Amino acid sequence: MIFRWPSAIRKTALGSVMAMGFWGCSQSPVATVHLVPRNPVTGGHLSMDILSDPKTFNPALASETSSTQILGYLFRGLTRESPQDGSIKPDLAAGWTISRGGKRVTFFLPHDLRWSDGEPLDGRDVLFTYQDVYNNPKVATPIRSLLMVSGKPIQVSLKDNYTVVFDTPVPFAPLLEELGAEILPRHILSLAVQNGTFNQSWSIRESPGHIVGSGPFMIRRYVPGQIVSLVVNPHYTPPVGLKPSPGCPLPCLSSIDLRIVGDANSQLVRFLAGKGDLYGVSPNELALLRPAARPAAFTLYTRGPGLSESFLTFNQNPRAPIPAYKRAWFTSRPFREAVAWAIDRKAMISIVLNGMGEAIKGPVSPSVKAFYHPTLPVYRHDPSKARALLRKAGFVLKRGHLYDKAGHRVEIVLLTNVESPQRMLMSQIVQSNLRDVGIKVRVVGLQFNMLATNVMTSFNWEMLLFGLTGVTDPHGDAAVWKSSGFLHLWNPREAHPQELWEARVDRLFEEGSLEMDPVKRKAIYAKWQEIAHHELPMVDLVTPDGITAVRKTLGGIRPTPLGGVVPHMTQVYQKARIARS
Amino acid sequence: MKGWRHSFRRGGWPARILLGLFLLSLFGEFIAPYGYDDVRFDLSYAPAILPRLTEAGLMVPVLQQTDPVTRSYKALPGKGESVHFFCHGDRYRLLGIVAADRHLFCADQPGRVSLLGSDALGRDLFSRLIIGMRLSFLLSLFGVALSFALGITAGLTAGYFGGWVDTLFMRTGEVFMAVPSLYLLMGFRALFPPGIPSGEAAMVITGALAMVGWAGLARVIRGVTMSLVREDYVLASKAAGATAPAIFIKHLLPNMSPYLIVAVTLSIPGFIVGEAGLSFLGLGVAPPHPSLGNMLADAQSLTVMRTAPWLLLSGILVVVLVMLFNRLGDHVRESE
Amino acid sequence: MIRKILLRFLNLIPVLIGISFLSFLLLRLAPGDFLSQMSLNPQVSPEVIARLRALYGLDQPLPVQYFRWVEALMRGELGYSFSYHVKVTDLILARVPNTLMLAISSVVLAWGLAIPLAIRGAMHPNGPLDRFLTSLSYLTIAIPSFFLAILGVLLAGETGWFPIGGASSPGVADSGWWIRFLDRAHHLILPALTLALGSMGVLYRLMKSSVMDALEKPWMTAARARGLSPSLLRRRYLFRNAINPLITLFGLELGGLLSGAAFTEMVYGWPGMGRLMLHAVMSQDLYLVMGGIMTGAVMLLAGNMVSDVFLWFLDPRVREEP
Repeated sequence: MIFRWPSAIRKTALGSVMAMGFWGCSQSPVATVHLVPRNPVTGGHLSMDILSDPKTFNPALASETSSTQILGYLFRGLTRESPQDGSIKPDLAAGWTISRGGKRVTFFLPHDLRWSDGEPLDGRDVLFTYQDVYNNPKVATPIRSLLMVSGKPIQVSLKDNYTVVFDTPVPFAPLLEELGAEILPRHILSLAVQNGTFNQSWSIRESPGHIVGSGPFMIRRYVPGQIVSLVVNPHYTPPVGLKPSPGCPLPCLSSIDLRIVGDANSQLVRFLAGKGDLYGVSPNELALLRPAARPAAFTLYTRGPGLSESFLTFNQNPRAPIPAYKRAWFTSRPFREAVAWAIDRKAMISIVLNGMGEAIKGPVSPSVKAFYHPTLPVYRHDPSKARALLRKAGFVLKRGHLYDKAGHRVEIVLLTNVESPQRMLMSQIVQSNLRDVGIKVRVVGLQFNMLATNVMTSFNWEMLLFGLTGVTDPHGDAAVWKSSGFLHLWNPREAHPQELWEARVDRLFEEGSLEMDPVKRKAIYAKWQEIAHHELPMVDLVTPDGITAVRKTLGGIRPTPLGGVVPHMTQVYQKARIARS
Repeated sequence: MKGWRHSFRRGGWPARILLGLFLLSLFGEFIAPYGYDDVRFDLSYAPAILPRLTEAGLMVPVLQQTDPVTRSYKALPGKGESVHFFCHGDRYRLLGIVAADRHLFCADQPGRVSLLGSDALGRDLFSRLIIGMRLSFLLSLFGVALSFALGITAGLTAGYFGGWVDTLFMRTGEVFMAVPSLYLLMGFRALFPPGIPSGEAAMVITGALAMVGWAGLARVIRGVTMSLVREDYVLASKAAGATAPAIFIKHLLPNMSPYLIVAVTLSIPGFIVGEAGLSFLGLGVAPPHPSLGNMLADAQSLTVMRTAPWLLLSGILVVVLVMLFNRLGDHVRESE
Repeated sequence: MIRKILLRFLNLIPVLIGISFLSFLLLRLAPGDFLSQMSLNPQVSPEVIARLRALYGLDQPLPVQYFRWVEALMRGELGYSFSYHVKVTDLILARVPNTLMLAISSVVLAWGLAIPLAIRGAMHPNGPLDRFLTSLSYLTIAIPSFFLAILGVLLAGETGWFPIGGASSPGVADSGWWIRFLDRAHHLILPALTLALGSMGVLYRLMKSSVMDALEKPWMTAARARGLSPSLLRRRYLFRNAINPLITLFGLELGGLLSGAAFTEMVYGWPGMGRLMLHAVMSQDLYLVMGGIMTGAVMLLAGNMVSDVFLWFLDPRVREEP
C-alpha cells in the first residue's frame, strides 16, 4: 500500500475505503444513543476494519484520513465531487448560479434540510461555518488555506435564510470544489466559538449524541481503540440527483460498524476469516487474495489508476547546502531526461504492484477526465538513450562509472520515507536502474518528519522519491507547480522564476484559476502538462490500481475511478435483507 | 576466570559450529554465487532453482514468470544452463582487501542457481543470507561487548562503593531507562547527516543500541555486587589493601560469571533483531546491504509469509544463531 | 530502612527533573515537530501552519516551552494532545485499565510458570523436562514478539477459536458482567500468552542458572550436610540466594507495567498504552509523549524502589551496614 498523507482535507468521496492511516488511539466514556428505526425497509448492517482511531469528530479540526473517513459519513458540504469524473455536483445545496463574470456564486438551499437532531439546517449555518469557524483566526483549522483567493478570504453573506452569496475579489474557477467543506450546526457550536473553546469541542470524548451532522449516518457508540458504530440519520435528505438502490431508501443500510484493527496483517486475516464486508487491497496482497477469491465469498474489484502518484525529483535550489557541481547536474534538463529514460517502470509495476498498476505519463491522472492530456508519450525503459543523452550533455562513462565534465563521479543520495515499504523497494529499483547508466545512488529511508524537515526546512537533500496527495482540480497543485509555491519541491518559494519554463507555468496557473469556461481551462492546463512532461522537474513513476475486496452478500456496489468501489455508502445494502422485504 | 582461550576450548560443539558459520560468512563473497545487490527483476519472489544432474552435466532450469500477480513461474521446457565450479562472476574484494571474481559455483546466464529462492527484487537469498550473517555477527558481538562493558563497569562501581556513587549511577541509568528507546534513538539519529556511509553507520548503530541497553544490566549487576561485597573473602582482601579494580576482577566478576554468561547470550538476539528496528529510523544497515535484521523485516507481512515463505529463513537463521550462542553459554558455564 | 526509603523519595525529584529535561532536549534534537506532517501537503499553506504553531505554543523557544510545561505540571496538568485535542491525562487514564490487564496477566503467567519450572529444571538439569523447556526457551527468545503475535493472529484466523482485534466484542456491551468478563478473557488470552511466552524463556534461563549457581555454593553443601529437609533447604537457602538478580528484574518488570507493548498491541488490536505512545512519538505529539514518559518514569522509579526494598528484606547480605 502506498503511504497516504495524514491529511486529506478535501472531503473524501463517501465510502472510499481508506486502507492506510496512522496508528492511533483514544478514549472516551462509552455513551450510547438509542434510536427508533425510521423505516421498516433497511438494507441491513455493514462492517469493515479501519487502521486507526479517529482523532477528533470535529470536521474543522480533522486533518488525517482516520478522522476524515468517518466524518465523511457524518457531514456534508454545499457541493460534492462526482466520483465518476471529478465534476462538481450539488450536495446540501439545491443548485447555484454564477454571476458578475465569475466573481459571485449564489447558492440556493432546499427548505426542508434538517440536522440529525431534527433542528432545521439553513443559510445561517452556512454563514456561521464560513465566517465564524473557517475564517476565524482563533480556530485551529487547516481548511482556511483553501478558502483564500488572491490572499483574501472569500466574502460570505445571506440574501435570505435559504440563499447564500459567495463573493471573491477575482473569478476563481476552483471555488465550487472548495465549497465542499463540511457545514457545521450553528445551534450546537456557536457557544463554543464565543467561549473560545471551539478547538476542544467535539473531541473524541464528546458524547455521541452531541455530534450533530447532516450526513447519512450518525455516531451511535465509540469505544476507543476498538470500534466506531454508526446508525442511520433519520433526518437525512439525499442530495439532488443521487438515485437510491431499487427497493430501498437512501441510505439503505441501517448501521455501520468500523472496527479499529491497527495492523494490516490482522485485518487481512480477519477478512479471510469472514469478518468485515469490505477490504481495501494493496496490490501485493493480491497474491494471497486472488487464489482465495474464487471459492470464497468475496469479489475483487479493480478500478484502474486513482489519484495516488509517485515521482523522483532533484534539488535545484541554489540555497541548498549541496555541492554546486551536483546542483549543476540537477538543473540540467538532459540529465533529468536521461534519468527518466533510465527508469524501468515495467519492473516497478511488476515487482512493487504485482502487475496491477500503470506508468504515470504526466501530472494529471487519467481518471480526471476533465483535465487529462491523453497524448503525452510515456518514458519507456531505454538505458542506451539515457547514456546517449548523458554523453551529449558532457558526461563521461569510464569503466561503468559516470563522471561529469569536471571529473566528479556522479553519486547521488536518494531520500524516501521509510514507513512505506513500496517506496523503499522502488528506490532500490531506481538505484539498480541508474547503476546501469553509471550513476551511483545511495538509498536512505528516513522517518517522515525527518524527511519533511530535510526537504522543506534545511533543503539538505539531493534526490527524492515521493508522492503527494492527489487532487482532481489542477489548481490544487498550484503550491507544487508555481515557482513561488511552498511545495515547489525542487526550488521552493522562488522570488522570481529561475527558468523560463517556470515563468510560463506560473502564468498558466494564473490564467487557469481565472478562467471559468471548462473547455478553455482544459486547454490551459494541457499546455502545463506538456511543459511538465518536457522539462521533467519531477520524473513520474508508477501508480497502483485501486483494488477492493467486497463480500458477495453486498449489493449496490458501483466501482468508480475516483470514489472507490463504494462511491456512495448510502446505496449499499445486504442482498439478503432486500430480497426478503 | 581462566581466560577466553580456555573458555573457548570448553565451548564444545556450539563454539565450533559458530566459528564455522563465521568463517563461512567471512569468505561469503566467494561462497555466494551472486552479489548481495545482484537484481533479477524477472525473478521476483521466485522459488529455489536447484541444479540437477543430467546427461549434459549439472544443469539448472530457466524460469519464466507466468503470472505477476501470484508470482508463479514455470521452467522453460528444453532449456537449461550448466553449473560450473570456481567460475568467474561478480567482482568483489575478499575480506575487503583482495580483488577477485571467482565464485564457488555459478550458472551460465540467463540461468541462475538459487539454493533458497529469491527476494522481491530477484536477489539470491542464499547469497544475501551468507553476507548478511557476517554483519549481524559483528554487530551483535560489538554491541554486546560495548553495552556489557558499560553496564558491568557502572553496576560494579555502584554496588561496590554504594552511597552517592550508587545514587549517581543508578539515577543516571534511570533517566536513560525512563525515556523510551525509540525516542532516545530518534534524538540520537538527528546528530548525524541523513546519508552517512554504511561503515560509520554500523558503528553508530552499535553505539546507539549499547546506549539504550546498558542501564538495565547495570542495575542487575549492582544488586548482585551489593550482596557479594559483604562476603568474607571480599572484606578480607579489602582489609589486605586490594584496590577496587583488583577486587572486581579477582572476586566479583568470577562470582557473577554464571549470570553474566547467560545474560550475554540472552542479549544477542536483541542486537540482531534490534538493528532492523534502527533501520526504521534510517540508522540501520541501508539497502541494498543485507543484514539478518532487515531481511527479517522484509518478511514481516502475511502475504510474504504465505507466498514466499523461504524469506522466513532469515528468521530461522536468527533462531539457529541464538540457540547456538545460548548452548555455547551453557557449555562454558558448565565447564567452569 | 524508613530513613532510606524517605531519602529515595527525595532522590526521585532530581531524577524526574533529569528525565523531563532530557526528553525535552531530545525533542529539540529530533527534527521537525507535530506540524511537520502537514508541511508536505499541498492543501495546507505555510501561513496556516505558522498560525497553528503559534496556537500550540510550538513557536516559543525551548526553555519557555519547558518551563510552561513544568508550571502546568505543578498544577497537576499534563497539557493537551495536539492530535486529539483532549487532555493528556484523560487519554492516558482511559488506556490504563486495558494496559494493566494485559501486563499483569502476562507477568503473572510468565513468572508463575517460569520460576517453579526453573527451580525444578535446576534440580534435575538435563532431565527430559529441562531439555524440553530449554529448547522452548531458545525458540521464544529468538523469535521476535512481532512474529509470535502474527502467528497468534494466524492461529485465531485459521481455527476461529479466538477473536481478532479489540478487547471486547461489540455485541456484549449491554450484557451482564459475567458475559462481559468471559468476553474480555477470551480477547485477552492470545496477547497475554504472546507476551508471556517471550519473557518466560528469558526468565527460565536466568532463574535456572541462578539456582544452579546457588546449589553449587559451599553453604548449600554445608546445609545439606547438616541434614536439613529439601523443602526447607529450598525455601530458606536456595530461593533467597538465587532470587537476587530476579528481584531487580522484577522491579524493572513492575516499572514497565504501564508502558504497554506497542507491537503486540498493534497486531492484536489491543487498545493499550503502547499503541498510543508509539503513535505519539512518531507524530511528535509533544505533551502526550511527555505525559507518557512521565507516567512511565514514575512507574519505573517505583518499581526500582520496590525491588530495592525487596532486596533489602530477602537478601541479608545487602542489609548489613559496612
